[in-house]
Amino acid sequence: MSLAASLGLLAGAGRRRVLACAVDGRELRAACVRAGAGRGDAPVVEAVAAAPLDDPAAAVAAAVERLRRAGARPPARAVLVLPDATPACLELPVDPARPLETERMQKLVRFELEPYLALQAPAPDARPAGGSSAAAPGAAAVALAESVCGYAPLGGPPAGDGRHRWLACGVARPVRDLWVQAFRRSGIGLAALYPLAGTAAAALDGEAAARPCAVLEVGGRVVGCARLSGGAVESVAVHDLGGEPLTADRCLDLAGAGRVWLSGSPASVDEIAEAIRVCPCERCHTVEVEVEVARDGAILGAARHFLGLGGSGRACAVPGRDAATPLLARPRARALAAVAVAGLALAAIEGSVRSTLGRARDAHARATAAAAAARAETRGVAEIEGLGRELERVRARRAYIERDLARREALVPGLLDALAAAGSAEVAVDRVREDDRGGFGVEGFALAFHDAQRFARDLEAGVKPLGCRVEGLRVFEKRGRLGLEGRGFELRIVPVGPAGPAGPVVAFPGAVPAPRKP
Amino acid sequence: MTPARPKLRPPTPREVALLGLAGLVFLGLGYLRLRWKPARAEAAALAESAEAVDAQAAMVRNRAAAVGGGRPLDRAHAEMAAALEAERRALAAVEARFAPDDSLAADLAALARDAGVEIRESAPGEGRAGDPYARPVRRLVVKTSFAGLRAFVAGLAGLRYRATVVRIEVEAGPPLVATLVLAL
Repeated sequence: MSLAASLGLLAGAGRRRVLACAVDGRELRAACVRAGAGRGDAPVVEAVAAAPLDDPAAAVAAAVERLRRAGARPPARAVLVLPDATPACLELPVDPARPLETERMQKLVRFELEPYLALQAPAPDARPAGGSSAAAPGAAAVALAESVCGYAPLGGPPAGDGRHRWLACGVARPVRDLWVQAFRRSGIGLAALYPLAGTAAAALDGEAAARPCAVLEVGGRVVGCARLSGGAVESVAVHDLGGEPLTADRCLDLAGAGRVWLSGSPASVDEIAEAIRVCPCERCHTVEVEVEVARDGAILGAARHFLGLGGSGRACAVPGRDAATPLLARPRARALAAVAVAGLALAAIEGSVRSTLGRARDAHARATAAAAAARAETRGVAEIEGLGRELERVRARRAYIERDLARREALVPGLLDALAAAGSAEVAVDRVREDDRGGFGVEGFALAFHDAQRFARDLEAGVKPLGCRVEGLRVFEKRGRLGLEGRGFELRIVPVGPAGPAGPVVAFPGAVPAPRKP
Repeated sequence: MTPARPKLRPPTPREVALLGLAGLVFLGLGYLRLRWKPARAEAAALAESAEAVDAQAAMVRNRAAAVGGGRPLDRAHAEMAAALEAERRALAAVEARFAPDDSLAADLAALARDAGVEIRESAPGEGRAGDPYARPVRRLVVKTSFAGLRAFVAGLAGLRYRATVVRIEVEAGPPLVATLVLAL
């Protein structure tokens, strides 16, 4: 976006007043200018003041003070027309529809403006062109090395090599900074600096701007000359008068024939216009010159251009401050961004870690609390289990007494009865011994094998109601108690389950206690 | 004269940037090692511990549920205590049929005399440790006939108190010697 468009946006945003100033070699002239009430209305000059140009800050302060005394309220923003700004018409390989980035555009314009700046740079021991007090000895080198530029497209078709015409201007950075500081001391922001040459062309409008003409800006030691054609600047140049007064003949040299607009301080332009009109020389009478006077045209042009009221294509300005470097293009900003990103990353990780730790600690605390409650339950469970074990023991004891002992009370007499019933004169029972497996071993003597078998068979019938059976009958030769030859036998009575009314035989392993020791 | 010390060249912006980056990396690595890694380990340990404690608590709850049978523990405890008390009362009623002291000895002696049994030896026995059938026992060695033994064993049922033969061994003799272990 060009400066003019930017300034137009600013003006359109409601900032409709500006303090327009111009300096020549002798004084600083200031005017409070506001835009007209209606669209297309001419700007209104509320008040004007002038102050001697001994010191920029003092001159600005004095002019502002005089404006206040005149009843005007100085605007907060100002534009300045000064002869130190060098204008030029350039052909740049940049399409106005697609301008370069601000920094690259500045570099390109600065490069193209260097020859013009060098031409205008004053000698170290000479007072600078225009007599501005801003420059100092050595300013020539400064002007070449550190200049700031403004630019605006001039429109029209591009040249054959694709170059487009631009109106540009440049000023030494120290000069600009000096004036910016000077205005800042008075509480005013210097928004733009305009060149002396050509800025008055922005004050023309309508038919005056459309007709081809030359605009001469008289400013002390220099004269700026801009030629207009088709409402746009065709050429612009600054001429050093070398200390000589501006004569009618010199005006004709600079402006040529046709319409000439003279701009400058009212006194000087009136004087020059009168001089041209009454000039007795033959040339002034033969050349057809139409002289027009635009008093303080540069101030009005700068204000008009700055307020976006017109003059586009006929003026350009150096901005009062550099365009802001993109944030991430600044090394410090990059470093801060890197630190911030790292900090944010660390903060995010730390937050995640704290969250994870918090959740884990909460879960652990909940589990610990649940475990404590469970431990309390464990005691209750252990007590219940102890009661259960005791209950089982008491039940077993009662079952032993009510069931097992009762069965034994039926079994033992029944067994003795069965032995007695199975016995006969041919069989003698020698031993009955209870084993640890719940059975009874029976040993005896029979006269014959079949006696032993009969005994076993009868015993089987006798113990069957007791839930027992006979097994393992073994018969062998044996001599009896009385020396009789016969058969010894062995058998076992074993429980077989709940076959009889008394149920199974209950074994009492180890129930034969040893005699108690005295 | 001392030689002049060479002046250090000020760092270039790229070197400053690299130093800054190295510092950030160093800080980041330090943070990861000294904070992030221990914190992760602590979180993992806490989670593992919580899981173990949870499992333990769940086991206890399951055990409690099994023991309580779906009832609150205090109610289950009360019911179990009541059941135990009832069982103890029932057991006491059953055990009331046993002789409270040595008063059965005289009855046994009288029964033996009536059955023609000579008691050679009578001694108290010792039950095994932890034996649930913890009735006092008495070991008798008697000399008798088979008929006397049958009469003696059959006569036990008619005593004032219960006496049960829990072990028997018979040597036919002569004379017949039997070893009886009685639960009293």
